[in-house]
Amino acid sequence: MSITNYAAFKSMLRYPNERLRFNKDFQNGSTALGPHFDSLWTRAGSPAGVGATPGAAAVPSRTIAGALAQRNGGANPLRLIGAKLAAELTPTNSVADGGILVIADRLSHQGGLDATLTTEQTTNLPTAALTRYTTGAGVMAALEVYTLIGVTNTTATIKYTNQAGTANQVSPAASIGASGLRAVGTFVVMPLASGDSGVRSVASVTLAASTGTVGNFGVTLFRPLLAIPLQLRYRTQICNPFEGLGGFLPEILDDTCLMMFVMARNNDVTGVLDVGSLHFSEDR
Amino acid sequence: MANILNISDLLTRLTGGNNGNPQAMWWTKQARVAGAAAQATVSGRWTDLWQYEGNPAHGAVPAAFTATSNATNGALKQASPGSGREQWLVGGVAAPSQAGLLLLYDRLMHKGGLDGTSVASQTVQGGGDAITRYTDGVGNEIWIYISTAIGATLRNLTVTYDDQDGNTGITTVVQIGGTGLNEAQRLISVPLASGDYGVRKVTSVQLDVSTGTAGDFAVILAHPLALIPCQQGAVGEVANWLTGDPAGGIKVQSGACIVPAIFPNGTTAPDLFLGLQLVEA
Repeated sequence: MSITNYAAFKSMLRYPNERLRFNKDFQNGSTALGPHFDSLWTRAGSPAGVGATPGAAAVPSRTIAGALAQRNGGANPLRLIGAKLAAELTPTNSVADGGILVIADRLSHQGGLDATLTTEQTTNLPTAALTRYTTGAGVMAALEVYTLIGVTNTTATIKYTNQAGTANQVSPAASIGASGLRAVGTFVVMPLASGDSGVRSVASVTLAASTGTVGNFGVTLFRPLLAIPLQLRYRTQICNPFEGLGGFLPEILDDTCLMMFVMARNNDVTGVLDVGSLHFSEDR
Repeated sequence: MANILNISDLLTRLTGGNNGNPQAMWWTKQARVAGAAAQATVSGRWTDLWQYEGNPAHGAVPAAFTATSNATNGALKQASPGSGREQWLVGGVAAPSQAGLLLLYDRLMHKGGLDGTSVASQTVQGGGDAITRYTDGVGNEIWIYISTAIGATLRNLTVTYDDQDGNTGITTVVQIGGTGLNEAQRLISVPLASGDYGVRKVTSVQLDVSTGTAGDFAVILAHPLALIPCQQGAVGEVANWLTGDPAGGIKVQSGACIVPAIFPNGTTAPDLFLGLQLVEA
């Protein structure tokens, strides 16, 4: 089913099936954000709680710790149709506010990779088979840091199966390690080999050099659903994706494990993301 | 928009009804090209993100003439609209890590392998080389793309083209080479001759003097689609083409090869996170 008409949409806005209130800390201890992506999976907050560091390859459930645990749709598709945000990003440089918040479907994850090994790593890999977006089209892979890795900058590649089912594709290298790319939550979205536009699974990860610290990092497969600009701190943003974000009305498939990651403008940011609510409604 | 009756119909199409086939396309790009850091940007000079690695994946160095499409590696790879329907870009959100003006354009063709030291006439589009979209030429622009750095000396490049009225052998001059106009990934806009506002074909280019380094440059024929001002690096900006500027959606021709470029406000090659919403009618 699709949204019937504007009156039905207004009804969805006014009487959503669920208003999910939560908050999340941006900062994890003394770990600062930067002008790169940071996953909020392991950040404190409620009701999601702190997401556990994954070990063996798994498909995270809708209600696992760290996920937002929204309801499933009923007879009709469920959509994310609104958000009320009050993001307090507090940079050391008071003029360098802002960023972008991405809400995504966390499709598959694993951990236990070693940031000092330069051999091909297959620990807890391949990633668990996708249960949504199963062709892999539009699915992205990221390297996510769960325990601080080393101060030496290096690059990583992944070996993966692409959206057409072709195995053993090797990605271009992406930077990891060193300042800005080593802290817990670092979320390095991997580029793909020429011609590719999605990932079905990741079979291995290879570092070009040791970062200097074993740490713990893993592969996360995800699909972006919505991106919300974060403007100045202390200002509440009320976001209607249809009218305010140019028509994005993402369907939230059943059992979607909703996660968030953020890119902050400044490179030394503390703060809290205090979301009034995320609003979900079934098509009417 | 063709066949979108009203806002209710639009809502229905954006949620899959009435053959709307909505596509929410997401694009991440990192500031790396061919396994190494991308060339630093120059404030006030266009940089094309064609070769920037990401998901969907990067484009190759332009070589032989190619009438590019949504199947060309480096394009957004959106699905073409169904038979008898049109496709519209209705919204977007962009966050480049470097502030600047983000341009989305339809790359109609490219021809590379051009030599920055040759003063001979270098063929761009031969007799049978034709674009497949915006064939009347109206609104099409000529760009010079530097794949591999050319020389440090500013030179005049004469570009010969067919204009929007089908007049052939029109010439114009653009300067390439030298700081800001010779680096890899640089995109240089070619002005048109007086009275012209479009291009059907670019037949050849010719340098007056060598730039000093052969490098590799290409000619692109492009049709601009949309601009997203990104006033602060790493801060998301929204483009609402339903009710914003321009209003009513931006038509995307079937097979469009959508590519981003940036007019940066700094010298740090940008990463990019981009989301675009398409719908059919």
